[in-house]
Amino acid sequence: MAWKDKFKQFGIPGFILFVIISLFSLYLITNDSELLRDLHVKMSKFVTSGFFQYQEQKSPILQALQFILLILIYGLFLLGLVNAALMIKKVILKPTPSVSPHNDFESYLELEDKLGDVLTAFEQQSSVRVIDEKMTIFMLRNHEEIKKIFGLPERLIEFVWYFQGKNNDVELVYLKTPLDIEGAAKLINSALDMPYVRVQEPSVNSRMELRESPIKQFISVRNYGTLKLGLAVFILKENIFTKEKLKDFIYCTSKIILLGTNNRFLRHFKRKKNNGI
Amino acid sequence: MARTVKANTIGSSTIKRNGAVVKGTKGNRIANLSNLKENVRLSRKQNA
Repeated sequence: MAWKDKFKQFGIPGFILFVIISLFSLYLITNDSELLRDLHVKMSKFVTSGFFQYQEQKSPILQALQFILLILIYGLFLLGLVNAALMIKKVILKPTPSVSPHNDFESYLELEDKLGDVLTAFEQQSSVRVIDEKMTIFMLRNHEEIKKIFGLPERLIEFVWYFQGKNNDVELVYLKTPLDIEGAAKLINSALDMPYVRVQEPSVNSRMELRESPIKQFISVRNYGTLKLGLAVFILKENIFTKEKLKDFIYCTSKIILLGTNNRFLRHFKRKKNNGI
Repeated sequence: MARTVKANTIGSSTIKRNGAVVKGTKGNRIANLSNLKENVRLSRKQNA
């Protein structure tokens, strides 16, 4: 609303000025000196100083000065009250400090740096062995980042990278074989029937076919358009997903969405898979 | 049966799909998985 924005812009001092101007406007329009006098008398009642007491015999200029000062005193009092209330509100509703790695800028830059190492290795036409090594480091750095987001140790989280194979096949690659690779494949396969870049299943065991699976939660991210590269994350503990963590996951994986579109990266990724290194 | 491979090696499997992968066109939210495919044909290859 416009008036709310205006109020926020000018604040309490603006409001006091507005009241003064309004009262004088009212006085000028109605020419009712009684109105201001009554107000002056009532306001001066609560002020002990003799200077502010209303006296008929004082000059109109002095009376006006007293009145303006009274309004300012009341305004300051009101300002103090509002600020005190705001401070109490701030203390009571103090947000819990975020421990999310979303704010961990250094960590995010490190991930970017590892991707930079891979891309630089391409540019410098480094040996295949060097590129492979840098790609593995980048993959592991991604794993680390996601582990941090969900606050999980190595044993409670698994990662599977996937890309489009021949015909309609989907190739899965992993640095550590998931405990339930069949279940993991079912989840990835089903997510690929949906047009969404990010898909989650927060309650894997609620699915009849996976009720015995050690996988409790699943989330996957892949590129836009035809499948090029994706990453599936399998959580082996219940109730890990929160709104905040998922938001961080989106932030952290935004590069993966674009990664598959880099042909050199994808080609080496496929080669890495075929050679198993 | 779970098997752990060395950190610098890659294990792999292939999902044999009947239909094409649906193109990713929506990304403004994390979608909940709708239907779970009951059967999946998976061929596994392990590099150690």
